[in-house]
Amino acid sequence: MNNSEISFVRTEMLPEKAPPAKETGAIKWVRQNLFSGWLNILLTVLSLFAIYSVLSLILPWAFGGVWNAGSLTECREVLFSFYKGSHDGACWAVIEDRWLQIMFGFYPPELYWRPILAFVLLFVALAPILFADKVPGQLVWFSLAYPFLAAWLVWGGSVWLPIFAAFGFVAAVIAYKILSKLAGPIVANLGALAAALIWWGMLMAPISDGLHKMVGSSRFDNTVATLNARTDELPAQVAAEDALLEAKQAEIAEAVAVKNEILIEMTGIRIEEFGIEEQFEAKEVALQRLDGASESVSDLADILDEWGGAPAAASDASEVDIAKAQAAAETAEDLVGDIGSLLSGALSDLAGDTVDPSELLVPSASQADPSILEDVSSMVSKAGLEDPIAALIARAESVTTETSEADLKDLQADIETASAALGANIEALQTVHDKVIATNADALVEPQARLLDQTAILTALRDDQTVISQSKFRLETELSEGNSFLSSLQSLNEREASLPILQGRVDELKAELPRNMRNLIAVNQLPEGTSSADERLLSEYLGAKNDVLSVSASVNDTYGELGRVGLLPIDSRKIGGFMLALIIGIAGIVLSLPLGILLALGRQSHLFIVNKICVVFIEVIRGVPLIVWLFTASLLLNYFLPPGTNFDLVLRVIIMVTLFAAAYIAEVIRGGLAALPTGQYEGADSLGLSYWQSMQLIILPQAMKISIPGIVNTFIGLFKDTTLVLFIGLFDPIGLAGAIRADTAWNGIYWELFIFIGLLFFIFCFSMGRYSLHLEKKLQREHR
Amino acid sequence: MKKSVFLGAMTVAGLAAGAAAAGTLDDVKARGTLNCGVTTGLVGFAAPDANGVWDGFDVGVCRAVAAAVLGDPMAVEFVPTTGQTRFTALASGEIDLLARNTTWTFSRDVDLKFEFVGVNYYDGQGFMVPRELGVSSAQDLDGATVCIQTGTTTELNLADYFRSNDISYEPVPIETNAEAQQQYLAGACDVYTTDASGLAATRATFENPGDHVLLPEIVSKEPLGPLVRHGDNEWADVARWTLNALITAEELGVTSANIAELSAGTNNPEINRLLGTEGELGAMLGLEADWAKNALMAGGNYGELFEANIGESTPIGLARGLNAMWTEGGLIYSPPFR
Amino acid sequence: MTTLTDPPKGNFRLSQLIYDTRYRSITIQVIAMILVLLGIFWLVNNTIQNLSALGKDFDFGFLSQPAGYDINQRLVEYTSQSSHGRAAIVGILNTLLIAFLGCILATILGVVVGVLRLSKNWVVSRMMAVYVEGFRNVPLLLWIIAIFALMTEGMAQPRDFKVGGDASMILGDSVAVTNRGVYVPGVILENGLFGSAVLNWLLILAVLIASIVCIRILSRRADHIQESTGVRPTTWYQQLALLIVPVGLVLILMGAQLQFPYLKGFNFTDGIHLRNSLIALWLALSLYTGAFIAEIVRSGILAISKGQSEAAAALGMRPSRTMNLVILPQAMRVIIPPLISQFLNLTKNSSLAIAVGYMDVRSTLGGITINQTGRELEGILLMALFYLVLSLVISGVMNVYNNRTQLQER
Repeated sequence: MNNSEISFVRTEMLPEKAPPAKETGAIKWVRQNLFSGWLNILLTVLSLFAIYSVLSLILPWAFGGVWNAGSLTECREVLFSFYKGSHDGACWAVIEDRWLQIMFGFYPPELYWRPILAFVLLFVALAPILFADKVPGQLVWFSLAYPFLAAWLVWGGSVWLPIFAAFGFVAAVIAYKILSKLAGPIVANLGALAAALIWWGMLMAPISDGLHKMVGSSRFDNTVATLNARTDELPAQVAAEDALLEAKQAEIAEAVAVKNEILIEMTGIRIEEFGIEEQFEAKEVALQRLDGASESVSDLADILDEWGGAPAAASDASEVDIAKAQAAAETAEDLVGDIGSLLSGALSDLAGDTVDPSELLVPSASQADPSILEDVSSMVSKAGLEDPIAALIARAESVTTETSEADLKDLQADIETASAALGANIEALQTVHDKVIATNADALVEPQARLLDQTAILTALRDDQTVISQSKFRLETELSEGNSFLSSLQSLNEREASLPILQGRVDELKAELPRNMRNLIAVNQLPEGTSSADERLLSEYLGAKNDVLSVSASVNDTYGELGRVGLLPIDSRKIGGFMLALIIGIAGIVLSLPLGILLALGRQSHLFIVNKICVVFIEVIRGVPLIVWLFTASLLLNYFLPPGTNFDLVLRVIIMVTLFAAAYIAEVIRGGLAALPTGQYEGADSLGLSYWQSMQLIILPQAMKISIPGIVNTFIGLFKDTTLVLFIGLFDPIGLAGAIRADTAWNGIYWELFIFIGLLFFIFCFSMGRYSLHLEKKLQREHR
Repeated sequence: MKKSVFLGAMTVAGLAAGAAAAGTLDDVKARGTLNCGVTTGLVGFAAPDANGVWDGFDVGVCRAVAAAVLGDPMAVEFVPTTGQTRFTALASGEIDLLARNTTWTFSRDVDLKFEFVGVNYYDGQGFMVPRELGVSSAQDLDGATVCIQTGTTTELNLADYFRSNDISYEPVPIETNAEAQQQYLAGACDVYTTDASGLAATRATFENPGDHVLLPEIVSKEPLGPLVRHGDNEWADVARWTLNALITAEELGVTSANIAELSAGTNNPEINRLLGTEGELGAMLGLEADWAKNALMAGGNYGELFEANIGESTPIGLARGLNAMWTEGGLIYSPPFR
Repeated sequence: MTTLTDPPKGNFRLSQLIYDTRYRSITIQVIAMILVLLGIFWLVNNTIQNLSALGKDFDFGFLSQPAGYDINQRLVEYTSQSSHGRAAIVGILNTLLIAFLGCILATILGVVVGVLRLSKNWVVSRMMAVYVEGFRNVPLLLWIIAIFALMTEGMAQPRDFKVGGDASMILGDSVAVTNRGVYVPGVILENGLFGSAVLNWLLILAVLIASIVCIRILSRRADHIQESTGVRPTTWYQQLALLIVPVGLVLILMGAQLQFPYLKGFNFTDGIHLRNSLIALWLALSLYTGAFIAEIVRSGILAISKGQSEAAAALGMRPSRTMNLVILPQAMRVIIPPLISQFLNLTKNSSLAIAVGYMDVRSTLGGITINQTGRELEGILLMALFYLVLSLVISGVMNVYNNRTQLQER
């Protein structure tokens, strides 16, 4: 056909024309995506407006903030010098000052490397789980060891403590291996449980104490010598730091003085503004009073108009009418009084609190802008404002309820004239004020820059001071701990020697005590009617028992300190901020995994009782809010544990959070188990695998893989929920924000801290969420 | 020394057995640190600084007790407690001493089974209103919205006061002082009520303190003091007499500046007994002879603690008022050291 | 697990308990039972010991003692002289109120945002994405505090509403938005049929429910007619009349009057006061949960295969009708189960009311009452029980609904 002779058939294609401008590129995109219909147009406009209004509020505030200041007051000073109130600019200085605290709580700064290392190693430990195909399989052993390693890094203590704790699991495995050959899986499982419990409950503490004692006694003399030397030289070092600190403080005081000078200088520049501002208030009040007076006059006129003169009832009027008339008369009288008092109030405001325009101090500003002087001279004089009002007062005095309507109208008109004059005066004042500010703003630029420099210098100095005071604090703590350790070392032998004696006393008392009282733990438990002798005996017995316990604990503690081979122990209470949130979150998830898996299997199980136990546990935990569980941890857990057990709040919270997370993890894993095709279960059965074998080799590996995104999401939820620990007195980021605001320097700070904390949470949770989405997609791809 | 560490804590379960019954003093000595319950942060009374070092008026009491018992004011573990958790923390033995501006009341002493060892601040519940409201008396507060801190005796006092005066009001319960302050400043409530000391401390940090007035009515007695568990009299004595030592020292003019000089011996037998150069008061308490001296070295006498933390030279600027020495018309009074 | 049934082999031997799969499951269950019972016994025994050592008892008598504190938002009568038990009931009702309101608003928000996030409008879908990610990734507690602070700092104080102040009431002087909450007009019944207001309102509610039932019947009939004849009778005006007329009549009979709030003294009086704490908590819970629901709705819609919307388009349906009639009804089946768990989450999260001073059950029973009486064991037990029952009831009700809407699979 190409060779067609027919002329009206085109033989070659025309070149494509460019689409119309409306249909290409950005314009097309905008038309199609933003303005495709009236609803879309409306939505777009509304959204853009919303975005604009939010950003126009936040951005100037955030970017006009102050980064260098030692306290909120200093922030306000700087902001004020830039014509900003404390609500018009952020005081980011608080973040600069305290961000490390928000991250780490009160953890000693020189040991920050420990939690950071633990955090970094976390990713190494996660590698075999997340990238099983890319890393060597042996790394799994590191993953298993990681929880113990991390706990050791964060809390410190002797190196064998985590090893011993881990050994409980090893003991369980050994017991299982041996018993399963002898007596089958049920006995083996129970035996493993028993072995672990025996190890942790009975063997671990004595062995660890023994080790400490062994190492400790060999070190005794050396340690005493070093400690003596150290405590001798420490006071000098502390004094040196003290001197440094004092020097620094003097420097700071000097810098503050310089800063204050700059502020005074700036106030000097702005003194004219302040003078004018003072005038505003009084004049505005006077204006309001004048308006009020005018209103009263018109109200009075209305009443008089209504009653045709002074309100009075006709002689034959009913009681109701009389009452009405009386009320109206009273109102009218009140109004008459109001007019006078309002007018004289306005006059006294003007007379007392304002000055004549000629007295307004504007010399320096008017040098820069001569038009100011013109404005000032064109303003009505003070007398010009006052005299009409004084005249009005005289006229108002003659006003009674008998005054004619025309007179009232006149009066009202005159009052309004006076008020208009005053209004014009205020406006003129405003113009002058604006001009003065404009001229001053130029003059302020240079001192403002100096002020900023000076605050930066101050911040640097204060940072130095913090470093010095921290090292001083460290030395002081070392000294005080060294001293108390020395004294406890000195008394160590004595305490050890006293132990058998004390124990003997306990035995003696126990023998004396009536048999039925020997198991009591408090005098309160005695039945009523117990003789006072018995009571005394019991309390003595309990006291003696307590002595034995506390002395032996203190001996163990001293040896523990003496024989410590490892890291400096850090108290849980020192942990706070995001570190605490991370520890609780990660520990909660990691520790809850085994329990969660068991619960999920139990809930899937056909064994009626096992199934019901798991269902009840999961539903009870999930049915009650976390905050109630946290209160349980802080208020009730001590009741549930053996009398006298008392371990620290962070640990109690971790236990509770672990139980809490286990219920949620169980549901996630149950979802994973349910998602596996039945063929997998049947295949495992057909191979003749036992229940545990099939779970371990076939079902769980697949189910866990599917569940990982869900587990990550549970972790995100848990991590966010760790903020609730603030209600039980732990310093999570929000709790720390409260503590920071209780510092006199930062009292009154609000949004800055919350925005910082929110941002950190967002970054962390958002990236985790993205990662879990990525995992989900990857899993979907693999399953296809 | 810090020893009861994470794993150790589990293994020494049973350590504090019977702690509720007796022997806190021994426990503290054996442990080497005092566990002291404080607030999670209240301006002037207890707050951690940038180094995590606690400071404040209540903190001063803790340090004094630690110094008296252990000879070292730094040997204190501060346990932040909330209004909700403080009593449980003390009852369960988690803390040895609670110094958390806690009001001494009958039910707390008798029913909740605690022992108040004295009063370190005589307070009363007051009201703060913005000046522009023009309110001059709490009687004018009919229909007002009142911000209160929950979990304290404040809300009970408030209910009682308004009921007995037949005034209606709208309570707005707030969890912390900082939140309440923000609510009040934004005008979400007309009145903020809490202990008068707290009101003054809060007002002092406002941008314009002059715009707010404290009403003359003090609607309750709030004797704030440290407390310990019931039934451990030795320990209660230690805490009680440490507090009394701080008070007596002010009365006798013993300050942290002149204590070194005075502890060499003076003509005043009471000072000598207090500082342990005469008599055996320390031994009677089960402490060293220089226990009171150590306590005083920690932060100075009562007056010094007051001035350094909440007194008129601080931003909080509280006057001594009721908390002046009894010799100066106040209520601060200590039984004699004899 | 499937078990092979071995032929019985004579007498029962003890070792069968361990080795024989028929008996082994019983053994395992008994052991599990014993372990759990031992654990419970251990906990209870410890508790008894600890309580007696502290000289405390286990007694719910404190619930009948006078509470002594005031509660601002009370749905039933309560004064500071009422008992702790009554304070707990006030708190429970407040919890139920916030949970109910929150679930409704969160669902509306979630559905709207979930649909808008799939919008072709780039600005809108991005904005919704920012909202969803922003709320999902920041702790709820922070949002509650932030929204509460925003409301107290952003709104005008009541005293600004005075003559000459900066603020004024909106909607024809009937609604006042202040930083203490929103005051809206209330309805009072001048001559109710019963003495108590609650009964009167219950009557009105009953009439309303009856009307709704009638409307349902009406629309059922319309469905039948449509099915048999193909023509749907126009019923909307009948439905509207049924909805408005009976309730309106009853209201007029009882002399209902609108009561407008007005400024008196420190605060507005009359009308209904929606407190800031309620609104802030409500908004925060709804916005937070709404973000999660939006994701559920979005994934529910995406789960419907594209063929469905293409088929609807082939039938000539407009996009909005496609969404309403084809996509959403199918998506609902995917959406409802996770929606239930979000409702449960919202209910449990309402216990964060403590952050804004909303007097829910955690603040009354679990907060002030425990603090004043020192009965933490009893108080927390009761509170946990309440939340547990509430959760079970919600999930029970929603499961029933879910089973009804679930596709009957063949």
